[in-house]
Amino acid sequence: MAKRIDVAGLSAYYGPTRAIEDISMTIEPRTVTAFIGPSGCGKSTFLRTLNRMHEVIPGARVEGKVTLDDVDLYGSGVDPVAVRRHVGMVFQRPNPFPTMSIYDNVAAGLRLGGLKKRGELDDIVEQSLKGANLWKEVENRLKKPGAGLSGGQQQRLCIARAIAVSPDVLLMDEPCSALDPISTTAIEDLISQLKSEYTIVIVTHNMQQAARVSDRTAFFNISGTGTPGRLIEIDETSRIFANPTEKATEDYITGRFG
Amino acid sequence: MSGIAPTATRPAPRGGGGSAQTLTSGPRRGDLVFSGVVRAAAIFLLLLMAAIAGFLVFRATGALNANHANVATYTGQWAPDDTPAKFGIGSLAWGTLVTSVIAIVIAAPVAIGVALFISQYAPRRLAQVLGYIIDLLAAVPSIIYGLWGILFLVPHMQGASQVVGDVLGWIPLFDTNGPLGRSVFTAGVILSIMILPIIAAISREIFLQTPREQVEAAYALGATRWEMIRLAVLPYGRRGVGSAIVLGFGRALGETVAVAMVLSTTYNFVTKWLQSGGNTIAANIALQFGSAFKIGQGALIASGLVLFVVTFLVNLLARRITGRADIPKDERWSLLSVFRPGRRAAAHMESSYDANAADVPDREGTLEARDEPQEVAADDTAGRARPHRAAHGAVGDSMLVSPSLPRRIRSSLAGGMTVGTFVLALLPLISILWLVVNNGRHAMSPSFLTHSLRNIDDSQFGGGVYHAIIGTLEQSGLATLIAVPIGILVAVYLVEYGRGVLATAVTFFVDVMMGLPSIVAGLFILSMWILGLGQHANGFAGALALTILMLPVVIRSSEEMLKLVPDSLREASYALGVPKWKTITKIVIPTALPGIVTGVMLGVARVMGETAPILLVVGYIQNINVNPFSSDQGQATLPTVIYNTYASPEHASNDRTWAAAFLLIVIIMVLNIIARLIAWWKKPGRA
Ligand SMILES: Nc1ncnc2c1ncn2[C@@H]1O[C@H](COP(=O)(O)OP(=O)(O)OP(=O)(O)O)[C@@H](O)[C@H]1O
Ligand SMILES: [Mg+2]
Repeated sequence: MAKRIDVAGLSAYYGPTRAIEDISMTIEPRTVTAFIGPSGCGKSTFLRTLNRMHEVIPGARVEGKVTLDDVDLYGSGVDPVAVRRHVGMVFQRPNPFPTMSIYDNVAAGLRLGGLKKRGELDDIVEQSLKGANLWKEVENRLKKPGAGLSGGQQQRLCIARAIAVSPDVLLMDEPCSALDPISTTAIEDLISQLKSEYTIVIVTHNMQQAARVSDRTAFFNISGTGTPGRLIEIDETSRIFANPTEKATEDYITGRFG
Repeated sequence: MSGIAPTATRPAPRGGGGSAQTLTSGPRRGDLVFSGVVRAAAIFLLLLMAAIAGFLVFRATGALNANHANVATYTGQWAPDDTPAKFGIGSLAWGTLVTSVIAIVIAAPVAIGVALFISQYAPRRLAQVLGYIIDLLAAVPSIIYGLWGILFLVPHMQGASQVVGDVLGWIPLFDTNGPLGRSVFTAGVILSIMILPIIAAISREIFLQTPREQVEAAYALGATRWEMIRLAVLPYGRRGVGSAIVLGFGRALGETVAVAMVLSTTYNFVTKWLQSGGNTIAANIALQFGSAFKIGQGALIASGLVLFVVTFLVNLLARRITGRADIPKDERWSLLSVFRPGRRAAAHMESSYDANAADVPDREGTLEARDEPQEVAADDTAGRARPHRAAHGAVGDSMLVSPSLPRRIRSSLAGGMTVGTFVLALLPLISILWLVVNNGRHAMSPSFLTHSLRNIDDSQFGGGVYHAIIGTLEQSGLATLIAVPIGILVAVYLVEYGRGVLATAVTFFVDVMMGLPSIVAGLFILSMWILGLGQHANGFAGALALTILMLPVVIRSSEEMLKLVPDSLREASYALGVPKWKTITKIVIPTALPGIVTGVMLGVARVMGETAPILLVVGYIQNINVNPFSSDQGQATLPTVIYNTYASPEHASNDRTWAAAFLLIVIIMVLNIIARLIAWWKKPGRA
């Protein structure tokens, strides 16, 4: 079930250095929100605070508040492992588990979460692969290693793996940047389909992609190297691209820097 | 695309919504237990080291206090059990130093030549095979070198020593007026043969790591291959090779049985290196242990402590020189490096120059523009660059002229010399294999593998080593059973959890254990397990000593392999909501498993050939004893059979000794080859 995310006054640190500062935004359910901005402005960092992956990095910490339908993700007693079951993630480079078959990759999250029943697993694996538009290509080789697929197929496998645990939110960090144009189109189609069921956040450096797939777009920026990244503005994608409020956004979109 | 409506295909939500209920949970039991277990393994390792050091020091002080001679300068017979007790360690330390220095002086240049030949000159396919041969040479156990040394090398060294004496006899060190052969010089030669493959294997790995850009930069300047080596490969590898040499020196210091078999013992400060006589700390322990009583054991332990401290300092020095984390810390690294992505690609890159390296276009005019360290700029071609350019005007004029004759000659000469060193290094291996196979085949038969030596006199034919095969397999098997789980847990701790003081301490002590002479591992178990806790000198005690030797190998290789598992896999797993301990046990360890298995096999191959520690902690018997926990019987192993029978004057016994050596070599080679096959089969990118 897609859920709504509310972020308030969020800052994230790597050791003593602050990477992002005072970010607040609301991400509506069943929408695709795109994050854009120059390299190093903290898009990935911010994205990873949304499922508490940020704190996996030694010395990293977060200040501020993230709520998922009224539950504070950073509240006391909240288990980051449980958070990640609700907020799934797809990475820049496809990263299927190399020791596992296609089937086992998709089933990994459920199996490691304790689901063992074969029939139930079979169903979910099939549904997830269908959901990731990969089923037809792999249904005859589910037992083959996931690493044997093409890059684009691997990325869809990773999406299938992420949705198999039925999260509420799907975070994608430049999911197409390692892919060719055809695979990119396949993933973009998939995102548009998944939107009706999930809350999707996607980081991209590709303006056309942001314009194509997203409903809302957030622009991040840094004022100089070493300074923390900030959210400049977030609005309907059409407005951001046609008529942004901030000058910096317009400069970035029209290619004047970044 | 499929066009399937996503609503229809979405997996049924599991576990309900994200209410506060499902997001909270108590502290994760699994994670707590798992991190507790790996931390406990790490702490256990530290406690073990502390206990061992404590017991050693305790035993040693007793004997040192009872000693009536000056332990540093006494040169009389080793008599710690006499009243008054008398023994000196100074002369032993001197002998240890002399043999190791001789070894390193011979081995280092040859090893570097071999490493250069394999990494820079040999065609790629050949280079791999030659590399394997050097690795195998490093896997030959010391008992085999000792056997070859006493039965083949010593008789031949008399002539060789005479030659050295004729040339250098005017130096007192090389005086030859006495019996020759079983001298520190011969011991040094044996040691040099033993450490050569270690230094060569590490150096080769370092040379192969030379950054591709530096190699290309050198060639782009118009360097010949030898000039490229001097410009790029040697400057890059200098520290690593330095540390490899120091590591080899450390190995030589601690080598026991080969030296014990070759030297004829005296207790003076040897000054006539070609003449028989001299002793080393490690050899003395092996030779005197059988007849030692309480103070005698303490005296040997005290000498072992000295050896321990010296090798420790030497290994510390090696670490200092290395400085960088990516430099191999032992010869087994090379095999595991198959798992390192991109490593072989670099090797391939370099050999792609094979065809044209010797006749790269001459563009000396650009040489002075290079950006190399000062000492390399002294390269002679640079000196000639200016007048040459003046003669030719623009650089382009000389484009098609091949390198000047002296440069080409020098390059070929250097290449030829590396080939020469390789052949030189190969000679002992061929000789050893030839002798072992040729002499070992007489007694080798099915009944040799199925019978023991019970009631077999030296002069009788027949009998076999069934009892020793059992001992070898049981002891190394038990050691594996203990060392592998602890070792992997410690490695998991270091890679996945380790931070702060505990991790630093554990890493440090793993390094200490890595450079530990095997005889000292035997002394550890002797002083703690047998003398301290009153346990029996049975197969299990041997297994414990082997565990000490195997642990660092397992930890180090597992650590390296776990580090190679990309973080992206851990993150992918975390992002699925998988707890850390399951991520480690179900994703990380399985991914690293082929490498870990390879490392374990190498560890097993190492301990199977060990002699020295087994001599100290397991009673030698000639009959079958399948019970390693026996309270009244020790066990034989293949190496101890060789050690206990090689001196026999009887033909029948000699045949059995060689056959045992044959069998031991075959087992160790097979293990190494299996390890290599696993590595090859499972290496990344082969899928
Ligand atoms: N693991 C880390 N440790 C320390 N600093 C980091 C780490 N990861 C990122 N940073 C720093 O945090 C800042 C934000 O990085 P981040 O990766 O979030 O940027 P980004 O917007 O995703 O960039 P890109 O578009 O290149 O992916 C950068 O200054 C970066 O150097
Ligand atoms: Mg990023």
